[in-house]
Amino acid sequence: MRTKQARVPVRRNGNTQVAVYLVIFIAAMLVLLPIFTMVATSLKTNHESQISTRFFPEKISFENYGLVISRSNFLMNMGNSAVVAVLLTVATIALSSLAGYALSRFKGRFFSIFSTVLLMLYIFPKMLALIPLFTIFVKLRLIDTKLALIASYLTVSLPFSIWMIKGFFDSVPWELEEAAMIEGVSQFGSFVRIILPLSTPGLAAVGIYAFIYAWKEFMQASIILRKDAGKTISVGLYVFVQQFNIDWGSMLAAATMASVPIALFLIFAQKYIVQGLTAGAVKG
Amino acid sequence: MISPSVLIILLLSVYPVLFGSYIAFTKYNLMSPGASEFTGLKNITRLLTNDPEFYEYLGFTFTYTISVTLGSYLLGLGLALLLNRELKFRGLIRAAILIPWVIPPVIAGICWKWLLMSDGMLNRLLMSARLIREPVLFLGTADFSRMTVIVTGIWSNFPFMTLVILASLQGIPGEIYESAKIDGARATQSFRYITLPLLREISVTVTSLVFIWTYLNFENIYTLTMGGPANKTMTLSIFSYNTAFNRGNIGYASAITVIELVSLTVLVQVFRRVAGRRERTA
Repeated sequence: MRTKQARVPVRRNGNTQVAVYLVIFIAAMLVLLPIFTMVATSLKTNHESQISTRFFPEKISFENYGLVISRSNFLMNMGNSAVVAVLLTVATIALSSLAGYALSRFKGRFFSIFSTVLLMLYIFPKMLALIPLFTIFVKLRLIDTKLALIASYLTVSLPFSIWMIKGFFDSVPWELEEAAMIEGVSQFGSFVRIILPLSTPGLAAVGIYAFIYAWKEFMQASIILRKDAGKTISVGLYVFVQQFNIDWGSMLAAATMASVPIALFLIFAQKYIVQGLTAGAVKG
Repeated sequence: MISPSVLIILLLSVYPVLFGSYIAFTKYNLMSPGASEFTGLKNITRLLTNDPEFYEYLGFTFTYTISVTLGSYLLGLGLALLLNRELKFRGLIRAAILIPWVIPPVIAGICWKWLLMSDGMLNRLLMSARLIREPVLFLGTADFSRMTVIVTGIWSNFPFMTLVILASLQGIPGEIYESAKIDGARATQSFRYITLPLLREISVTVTSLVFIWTYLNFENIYTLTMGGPANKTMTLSIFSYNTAFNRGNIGYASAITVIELVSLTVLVQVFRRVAGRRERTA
């Protein structure tokens, strides 16, 4: 991203600048309209959110938020999502950095087959693996466990993460490890002490993607998690919509709260999200 | 070092995918587990020759995917060109663009429903401003609901397009434009003869990716319409999900995903070939 700024030949007078900002502003408003409506409605009183025909609340109220927390499993669902997301993040970083390192440093038939398989998995329908996984989890009595959910998330997060982290390792010069190994450090030692610290941006990007994936995912969770108390936030919200299907105030308050972790990532880790997004395109 | 990942990928991806493809050739129902029976091509032939629903859903999956890919590409390209200059609030603008990309689809579905349903916010605002007399049924009629899911699909995919195209625009050295300008090229000419050709490769990549993701996407439509009204927004992914987990017929559902994968592979190959040829002649 941080390459030299290319200058598109546009005459730089005040009017075009103003017009550009105006267009960007209007586009942003349109794009964010659904989000703004959600937040604005959630901050009305429960009664006003049902009947109001105005965009902004008359008076800001947190009644809807209180209702959600006291009447549903919402906090429990948030907790489940947090646990699953953190565990998936740790597992994805650990496994993908090992595999990415091997793909980046070793050559051979086995490695090229493995990387082709990874690329193919990237475009496979999730359903194709999910149906058999479901039957396997039923047999192993793992339905309704976080382990089963994390395992099925790894099928999606690993192929992408290994490719992305391999790209980062490729850019670390081989000479650094060679020097360390001449000094008597093992290959694994030089991986841990030299390569990993130099690739922290890559590890961060992979981790953030795994976290966001776990937070967003609906389809796999809706099949593997059956009991209300064990559900993650996406499935919990979906159930909530079915149960309270006319109480839009509460629903939108729940949706707003569930968006908070994503908003935090956007504020504090935007750079890594963009990095992961562009890396995905290059490797695709 | 690679072995833990290889093991997990073999166990959790390769084996299930192979097993799943095998299920497609069996009669396997969740209601009577253990009683699976190998039936050869029966599921596939029934799907292809004796299931009128399948072709309707295949058709809509196709329309949906093409419209979303094209729409988000054009929007992404336009925005990227607009943003490719020195701007204030760069971080803020990028955050705003990224929101549709990172927001959980269930939340996006709730937001859109609240905005667009017959007594949703948009209809309330338009009615109270006396712009319309009757609520617009964005999610109620076949045509409107199809347009709605296409628009929301574009909404969730254009951020990817915008940011990737923007990144590659920023990689084009400014000197090229300057020398073109010295040679007397107008802005439209340098766009046509410099910018577009240099974006061709990345354009093929991002459109193929979004095409694949959209073709296989389940959440965007399911969380908004569940494939309704009257199955008018049903795609192959939702069809196989319902067949597997609502009707319990996982043999047939696997056959649907196998056909989904085969058709997608063919489409992507055709697209890559056509786009690749244009690359050579240009």
